[in-house]
Amino acid sequence: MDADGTLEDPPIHSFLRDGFEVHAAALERDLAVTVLPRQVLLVGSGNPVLGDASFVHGVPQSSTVAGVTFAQDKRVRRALLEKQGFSVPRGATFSIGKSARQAVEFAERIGFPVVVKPTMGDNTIGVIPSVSDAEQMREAIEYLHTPLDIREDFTRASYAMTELREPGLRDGVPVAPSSYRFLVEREVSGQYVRVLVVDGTVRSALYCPSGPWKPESGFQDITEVIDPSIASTAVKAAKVIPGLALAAVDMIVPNFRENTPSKDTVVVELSERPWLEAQWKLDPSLAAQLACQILSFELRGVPLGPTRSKITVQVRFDGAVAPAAFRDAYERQAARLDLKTELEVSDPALGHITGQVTGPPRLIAWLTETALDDGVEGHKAMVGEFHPL
Amino acid sequence: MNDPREDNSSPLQPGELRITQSRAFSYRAPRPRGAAATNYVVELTAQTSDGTEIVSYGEGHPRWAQTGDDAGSSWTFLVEVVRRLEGKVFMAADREEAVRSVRRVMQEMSLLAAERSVEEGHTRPFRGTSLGIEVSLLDLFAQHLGETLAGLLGKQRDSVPQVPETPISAGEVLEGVVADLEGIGETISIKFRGAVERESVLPTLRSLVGASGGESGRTVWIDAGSTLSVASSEALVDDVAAAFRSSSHQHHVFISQPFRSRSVEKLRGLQNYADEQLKSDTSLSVHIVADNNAWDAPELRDILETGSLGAVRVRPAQAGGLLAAIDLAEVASAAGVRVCLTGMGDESRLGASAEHQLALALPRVDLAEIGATVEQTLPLTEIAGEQRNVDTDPLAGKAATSQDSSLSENPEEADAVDEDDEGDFEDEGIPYFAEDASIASLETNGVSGLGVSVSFISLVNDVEKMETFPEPPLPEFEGMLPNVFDDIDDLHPLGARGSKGHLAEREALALGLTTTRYSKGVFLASDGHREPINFKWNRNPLVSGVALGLCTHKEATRLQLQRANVPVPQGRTFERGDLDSARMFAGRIGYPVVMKPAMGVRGIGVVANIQNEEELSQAHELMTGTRLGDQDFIVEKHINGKDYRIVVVGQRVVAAILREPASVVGDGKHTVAELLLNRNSARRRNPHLWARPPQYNAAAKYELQKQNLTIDSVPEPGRVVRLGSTNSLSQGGESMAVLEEMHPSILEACLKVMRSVPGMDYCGVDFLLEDHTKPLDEQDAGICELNAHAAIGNSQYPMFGTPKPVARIVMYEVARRFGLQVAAEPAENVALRVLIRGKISGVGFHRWLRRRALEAGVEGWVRSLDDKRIEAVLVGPTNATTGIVSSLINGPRRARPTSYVAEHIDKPLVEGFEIRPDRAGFEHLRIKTGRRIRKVLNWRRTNGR
Repeated sequence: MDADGTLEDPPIHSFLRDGFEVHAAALERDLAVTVLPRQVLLVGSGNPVLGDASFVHGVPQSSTVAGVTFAQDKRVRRALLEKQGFSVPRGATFSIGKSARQAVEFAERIGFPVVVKPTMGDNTIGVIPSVSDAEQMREAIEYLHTPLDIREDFTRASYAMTELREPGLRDGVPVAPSSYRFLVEREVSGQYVRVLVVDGTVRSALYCPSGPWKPESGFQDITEVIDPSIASTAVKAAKVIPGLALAAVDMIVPNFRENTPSKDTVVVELSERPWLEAQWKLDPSLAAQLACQILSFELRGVPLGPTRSKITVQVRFDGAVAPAAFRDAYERQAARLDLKTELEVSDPALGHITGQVTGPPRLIAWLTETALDDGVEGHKAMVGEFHPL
Repeated sequence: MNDPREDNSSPLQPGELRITQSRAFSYRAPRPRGAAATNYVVELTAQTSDGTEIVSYGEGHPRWAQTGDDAGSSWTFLVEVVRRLEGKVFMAADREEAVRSVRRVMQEMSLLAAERSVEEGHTRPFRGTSLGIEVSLLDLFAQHLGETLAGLLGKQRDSVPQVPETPISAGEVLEGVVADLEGIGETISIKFRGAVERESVLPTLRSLVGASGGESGRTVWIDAGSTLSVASSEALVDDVAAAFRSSSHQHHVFISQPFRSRSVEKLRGLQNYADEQLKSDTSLSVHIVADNNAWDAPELRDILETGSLGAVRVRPAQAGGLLAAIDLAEVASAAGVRVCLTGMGDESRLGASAEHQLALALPRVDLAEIGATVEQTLPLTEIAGEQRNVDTDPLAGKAATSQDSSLSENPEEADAVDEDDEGDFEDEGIPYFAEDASIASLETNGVSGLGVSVSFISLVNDVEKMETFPEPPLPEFEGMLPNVFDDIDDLHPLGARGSKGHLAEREALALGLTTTRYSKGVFLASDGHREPINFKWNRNPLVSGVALGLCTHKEATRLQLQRANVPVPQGRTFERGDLDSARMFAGRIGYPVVMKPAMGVRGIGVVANIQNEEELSQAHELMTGTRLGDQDFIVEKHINGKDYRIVVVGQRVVAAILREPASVVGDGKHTVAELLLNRNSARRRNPHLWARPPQYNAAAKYELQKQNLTIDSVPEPGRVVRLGSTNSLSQGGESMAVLEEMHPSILEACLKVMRSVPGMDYCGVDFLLEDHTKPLDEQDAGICELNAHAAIGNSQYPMFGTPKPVARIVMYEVARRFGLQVAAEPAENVALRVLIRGKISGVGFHRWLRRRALEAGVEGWVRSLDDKRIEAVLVGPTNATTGIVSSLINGPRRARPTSYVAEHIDKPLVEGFEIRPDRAGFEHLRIKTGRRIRKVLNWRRTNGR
């Protein structure tokens, strides 16, 4: 913690934010955690194998695979919203190969500016807002030819559909498959509002003046002042996809303080993830608070202890590729963060490392998330188990 | 077909021949773009009185409404005729007798075709299909008599002017630039589309005239693709006249069907206009070619009663055979109408050779447009007299697939491609023609019959459907016969992967739920009270997102199962070069082990069954030498087990199948080739495996070599011949249901899996086991993968062993879990009202649906509500009706449905399947119906009724 008592974490990729915040919240409440690759997190010690609750990227276990898959399919999501009477921007999907020309014609027909989004995949990722003429539209489609994994902001959730199509080839250079689809939507003007709904309740509402992609425009926490009519539309919209325990609903409204009928509330995104990065940009403690609510929802009745600023946990890492090197790197990193460690390679053949770590729970969580994602100094382990002492 | 003898025992008289085996198969003609066309091939094997065996072929070109094959299921019709041909004895001592025999068969067949037509009053049913049957008979008799096909048909000439292979596109040749035209032949083809290009025809023509160099006249074929108006057609004639006027040679210009309209009057008008313009010019004649107006002789006679025609296209697939094409040309010839013989496009050399030889025998032919394009990409045929090459192997050079099951293709994952969204536009395929010198030389070389046969490799690899008579014995597995599934015909129309997205919906509808579908993979089901349940391919609400996230990571899965003490092959990832740790690890878990690169592809660098430290070092050295050698690597316990897929729903194991590489069992009589064909036939009747036949490829050849066999060997009775190394069902592997024999300890381990992964109530467990009947602790065993969205089809439709209704069990479990009100028993019959939305008008949706329904025995009606909504009522057996419902998200070829809702209604009074008039389009529909009635009357008149 720094001087004015706010949290000061080392940097973490926005893609890992949700998983990290829930992870940190669990350690702060003195709960045991098991961390597996791809941000799979098991919390609590009620069941020695499963824990009491589990998350992936901060998405609770009660969200079904059907639910998260539907949320990642923007065509289906739009169709479901429309069918239930919600407003969505005028839009249609096209492929970068066969129907790219039709996409430009379509944009001209519905009128610029438009927003271009990949049809499938992580919400709010790869979105190209404010495409204002045919030329920019063609540039956007050109950009969509970039193979997914080398796009700058590309992320793919652990539960996303697998891309098995062969990449396309253009002048001998690999590009996205020609059947790769994208959505063209009319860009609606108004106030961009993001509402986090957990278990049918609004937990947070943010006003993002230039959209969630531009935090520098100054986000505002409007949870207390958003008109109940809009909050209620968000709650109903979150129910449109069956099997989502949690949803971040992005809407455009004329004025978030005023009573707005559902027909004037345009739903532009509906994500299965909380995307707490937005709240964190505004106020880190807000993100932490919300993570705790998500945790508490999925734990259903398992009591949460008081928040602790320093803990000692018994640690066990499994599946370390180079166990001794991993241990050394982990200890060096821990020292830089002022964490106290006592670790030993308990079984070099099996790659086990055991011991204790003491320090602020957020930093312990941060180090673990990093170690399992990219590795510490390039050294990785597969599983980390943490039991509070 | 009662005339020929049907007697399998009595000896043949001289001149007679008996068909001992008849076979029909279909294949898709590959096209660079657009939807592939399907062709049918008929193969007849016959014996002559002196014991000689003759094999003959004929290719049919069913092209939907273009050849009358939209009358009903043309495949069913073909199979019925082919079945009837088996065992028949024909007398064909000379040409006249042979041709008479064929005419008789064709006559009976056309009666049968009319009977089998589901479209009442269809005037030209199954012409494209019939062509294949006729040609196979003609080929048979021609070979029998030692004649070429042209000889049998009555040869008239030695060569025919052909429309050249590559058309010049209008505007391609600029005025004054004539250099490129020096080598151009006497016949020229110009293709263009639309009025804009018409403008540039004149300079093109002028260049051609200029390039003719004054040696001889030219024949020019202009194909405007039915894009012109009357006015621009006349302008085209003017251009032609202007270009050729006052040339010193005689030129012929054919203009093929310039209008979209099929009005004979318009064609005549244009011909009159041309004759008028050119009346003073004797050096140029322009012939307007009628296409699609007269399919056969009676139709042309009808047209000629009311006036003349310049030229007519003769298409054997429309006439219904080569003999019918001769009849048509006869009528044309007698009336001085010029004849252009034309194929249907997308033909193989089987079709092209038949048409080429027909061209030599037609009473009149002015121009022929024939070509074989199939062989450019598909080695379907072999030319008689050319070296037969069994080793031709399209896959040679590809790495053999690995034994390592972790690297096998995972069919469950094939769920990423969505081709079914709105806003997509398909290009119409343009048939093109390629001259084939070898076809042209067949007849002159004097090879008897058609001179073309089918290569065996194609028969195994490219065939889609096949039926053989007499039906060969079914392939067996450990004394079991293949399962027969009575829903195969209900699932077939959904396409190769169609049943995957459909099975769960079928059960939802059977249980009385309402369904809404948005794509081939996505649907929701609702009881009208609770929150709906949703599905995308095999992703269902019984599994959490967390569980899928875990299961898609193999190391994570292994470690999590290990934490729960579930048997997994122990393994670990090591840093590159760290052989010491690997050695220590292998010593701990015990040999044998497998070593592989951490991010492996296609089995490169994988070494299995490593027995000791020394072999481990060798394997490490070997792996380091490959292009993946600079990675981290994995060492894991080698389990010498077989590959099982066990499906668990909730806390219950519901199905278990054993997967083995493709194999056939010898019977001491048939070659490996025949056994494989036979096995594939049985596989094609399996709803899950029909579109995934094993191939005769490099891997199969390699496996045969290892067993000292070739494709032509006859393995002894009972010998199991392996034809592949992968267990993957999509690569031709076998599936055997074994749940009943499974040892309880294995089932218990599977249930434990469900308690080890968070939020997992549906799972396909991939278990390696030595013997599924033995306890786990008495064998080497381990779980190598969990599938959170396991395919339902492979466990529901095993090739052998007792099948389990997996989809139904899943749907009951989902309904139970989410508290949906469902029927106690699945309904055997349903009555559904379906509302379809999308780009579905003007694409023949109603007729398409009506035909599907009639074929499936489903009753009801369909009507348009407006140009974006169609309403249908479907009543019938659950499997058939729900199969049609799911196919509504595809619709006919050019339709782009975006969604439908299917809900149960009280069974209405319906009979047959009716296309009901919609409110707005009522007039339009009546006009259409009116034309149909006229057509029927016409047909009756021309047939003397």
